[in-house]
Formats: sequence, C-alpha cells, structure tokens
Amino acid sequence: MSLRRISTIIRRDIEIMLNLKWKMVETFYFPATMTVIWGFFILWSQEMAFEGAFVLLTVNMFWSFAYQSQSGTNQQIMEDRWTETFRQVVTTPLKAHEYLIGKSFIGVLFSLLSFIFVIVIAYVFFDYTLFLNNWVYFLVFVSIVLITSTAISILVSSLITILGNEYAFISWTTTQLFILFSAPFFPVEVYPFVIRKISEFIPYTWVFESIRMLVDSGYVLPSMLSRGLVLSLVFLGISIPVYSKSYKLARKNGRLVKIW
Amino acid sequence: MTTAVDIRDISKKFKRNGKEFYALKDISFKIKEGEIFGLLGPNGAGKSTLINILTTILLPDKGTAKIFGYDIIEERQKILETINSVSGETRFHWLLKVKNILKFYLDVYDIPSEKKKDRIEYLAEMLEMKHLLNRTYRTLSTGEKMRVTLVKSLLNHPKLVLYDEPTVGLDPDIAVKTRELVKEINKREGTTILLTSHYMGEVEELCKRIAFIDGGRISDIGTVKKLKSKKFPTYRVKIGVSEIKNKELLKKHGFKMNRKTLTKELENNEDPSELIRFLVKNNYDVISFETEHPTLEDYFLKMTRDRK
Repeated sequence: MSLRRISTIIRRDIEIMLNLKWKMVETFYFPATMTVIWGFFILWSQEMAFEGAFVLLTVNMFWSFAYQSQSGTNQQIMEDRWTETFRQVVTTPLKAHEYLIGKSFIGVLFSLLSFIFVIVIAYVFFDYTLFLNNWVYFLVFVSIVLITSTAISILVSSLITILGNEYAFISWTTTQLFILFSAPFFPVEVYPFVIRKISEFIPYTWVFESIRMLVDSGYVLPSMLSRGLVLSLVFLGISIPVYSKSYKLARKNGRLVKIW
Repeated sequence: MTTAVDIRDISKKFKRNGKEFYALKDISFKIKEGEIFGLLGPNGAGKSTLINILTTILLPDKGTAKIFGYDIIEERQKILETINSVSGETRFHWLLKVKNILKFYLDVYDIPSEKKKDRIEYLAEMLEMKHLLNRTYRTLSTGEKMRVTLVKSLLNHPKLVLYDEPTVGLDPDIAVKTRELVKEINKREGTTILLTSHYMGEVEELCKRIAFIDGGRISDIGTVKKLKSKKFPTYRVKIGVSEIKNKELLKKHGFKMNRKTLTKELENNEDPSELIRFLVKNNYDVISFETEHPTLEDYFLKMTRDRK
C-alpha cells in the first residue's frame, strides 16, 4: 500500500470538491437549513415544555450525517465514473484498496465538516448544548455512524461495480433504507417483530436509541454503544472482502471495462 | 531484439442475449521492442477486448500474455508500472487544470518529486503544449485534449503504450498531427506501440507489422507489404503516350488501351522500367507514368469480403 498514491487521490479530489459548487451546496446548505428548521422547532417546543424536540434535532443531525457520509463517499467513487475518467485511474498502478481508502477519506472528511457546521449553527443560534456536556458519547455516536456509513458505501460501490452504472441511484437511496429500519424517532418496540429483529442488526439503531436515552435520562447504557460499535465494525469487516471480490468479478465478466 | 509483448492462446467468452460467444479465440502473437504494431479488424472483431486484457482490466478465460516478461495475471502491478494506455475516448476531470491532471498521474506512477517538473516540461515541449498547462481541461479544444492525452500516455516512461483508436472523431489536420506525434514518441522515447485504428491510411503510415483480427481470431499477421502482396499479387502500371499505334503489338504484350493511356498488371516482383524501355524501343512518346499499388484499405476490404 502506498500512502503517496492515497494522498494523491485525496489531493485531487479536494481540488475537485472545492470547485464543484453543487457539491458544496449539498454538503453544507441542506444540513444547515434542516438544522435551522428543527432549531426553531426547539424554541417553540420549549414554550410548550416539550423535551422531545431535542431528540428530533439530534436525530436529524445524525440522520443527515449518516446520509452525508454514505452518499458522499459513494458520490466520490461515482465521480470518476460519471466523468468517464475511471478507466484512466484503474489502468495505473493505483491499487483498488488505495483508491477506496482515498475516496472514503474524502467522504468522511466532508461529512465531518458538514456535521461540525450544523453543530455550530445549533449551538450559536438555538443554544443547543447537548454535545458539550456529553462529548464522549457524541464521539462514539460519530464513530459508529462514520464506520457504518463507510461500510455501506463500500458495499454499495461493490454492488454498482457488479451491476453497472445504471444502478448508480442506489448510492443515494441506500441510507434511507437503513434509516427506515433503525427507528430514528421512536423506540424499536414500535416495529413489528420481524422489522425489530432486522433493526437490532443495524448499527444506526443503537445510535438513535442512545440519543433518546441520553435526552430522556442523561446517560447511555455502555452495552448499547458497544453493540453499535461492534456491529459497525462487522459491517466494515464484511464490506472490504466484498469490494475486493466485486472488483475481481468485474474484471472477469467485463463490467469494469464498461464502467468509465 | 527483445520481445515486448508475447500473447499466448488467449480466449475470452462473453454472453449476449443468453448466448455465449468468443470475443477472442486462441490468440497468439508477439510484438518486438521498439515496434509500432497495428491491430486491424472490423467493429466487434475483438481488438478492444485484447487491449483491455493487456491493460489488465479484463481477465482472459484461457491463456496469458507477457509484457516485457511480466505476466498480465500474476504480475498486474508490474505491468501497470511498465505500460500506459489511452484511447480516442480518454477523458480527464473537466474541472482540473492540465498541470494538476499530469501531476496527479505522475504521483500515481510514483515519479520522484524532483523529476516531475522536468518530465512535464520535456513532454509539454515535445508535444507543443506548454501554453496549455495552466488551462482548465474543459476549456481545451479537441486537438488540445488529444495532446494532453498523449502527454499522459508518456508520463511514466512506459516501455509499451497502447493506443486504442487515438484519432477517432478528430479533424483531419489534428489527426495528421497526432500521427506525427505518435511517430515522434516512438522515435525519441523508443517506446513500443500497439495501435488499433479504423483508419487504414493511419495504420499504413505508422505500422510496419499488423495483425488482422476478425471474429475473435487472428486471420493474418505480418508486414504491411507482405500481407498486401499475399492478397494482391499484382500491381497496375498506367502509361500515357502521345499516340497509340500498332495495337496488335501492344495487345500481344498484355497492354490494355484506353484513349492515350496504356495499362498493364505486373507481378509484384516485376520491374516496370522494362515497359518503358519496350515502348521507347517501339517509337512511343511516353508522356506520363504511374503505378497503382493496392492500399491497406483494399486489403481490409478484401479481407472482410472474403469472410462473407
């Protein structure tokens, strides 16, 4: 593995990102406006003595963060395919996993920047201080979301590599599906049995459960966090060999040739 | 001379509408170091499949190939460090500056930092594109983009460059310039070149040896001259004279007559000056003389017609 080649990918993509105006808008504008909407909701709900508003805002911030980090990494990977430069990149000594690490780093970097941006907005304009008093928990939440989203984006890229570019839409629709099964605004007990069982295997579920518990009782069960963390590492552990396999399969069945 | 490319029994099957077909079937041939080798064939013949296999982005079902001794399956990394490839459809990111695109590839090829600037400057000068380095890729014309592509193809001092239809869609003047540049690259860098093209004139101008590929098989291979003379054992001589007299004598010697032009088919090894001597001896005023040799395009058409 060459760190130089990885950093080359990162440098090039930062230059592209900074020049892609729509990308900057997507990274900062949508999460910021969402935070402002829910921030005003907090102001109103405080008058009504409704504590649940903090759950809604925090969950929304992490939901947006999960979406940004997964679809952001996927869009990074798809960027070379959409601009028909992928072939040029894969016919150089750059290894598949070096490419993946570079792309994931960019996805993680920009989603973190976006997340920090919305936290600052919530703090400055709506006096949102939950993260200040519970920064260790927040660090674990962020880690679980980042690892899970990276793993999902690797799995999604593998699928697109096998199925072809016409399936690129799954890169920005997958997180929605995972969020649907991870009970963002309500306890998992609300789900029917089968969905509840599925949701227990999704790391996001344990982040959202923990957020609700934190707002409600001021603490989080370590078992919830460790479960989320272990599951996210399992996701990542599965995604890497799947990616290697999909890449090899695509070289065999000719799909890689067709992904420009 | 060292063998640059050694392809042995390569086969590749694909599925189309549920049916399997051979894109390549038992392909074997060699390319010598420093050679510009042409790969000819109609659409869907298997040329690009072979290029994709040599660039290691497609795995063969059977057989293998070695590039400068490195196996394309076992030593992929070494292959990718040794070769470079571009096609007429090569694109770079539209938002990047040309010099940053080139720097990116230099880094990917692990070219030491102190040599990067020199390499870009040397190649940019050779391909007359120094003034383009600070331009954004999207602002370049088609010809300028082709220059960037050619520079990229040489960044890592490749021992072999694969050019897949490098002049497709280019204006004739840019295509001419591109051909000159390919010749220059081969001459100055000693780079072995494997070229595919639909333009027969281009292949004839650049390549000494070619392989004709059709239906996934090599149906002919050799020097351009040899392959043409195999399909066309004769060539035509056209002689303009001031007046046609003694038609019987001309007929007897195999001339065909049309107004004041005499034509005759000669074997490839026959010397046309004998005809002039014969005509002068028989009191003809020879006012023009030309030979018509079959072109590679004639060869291509004959090969594809014979197939049908």
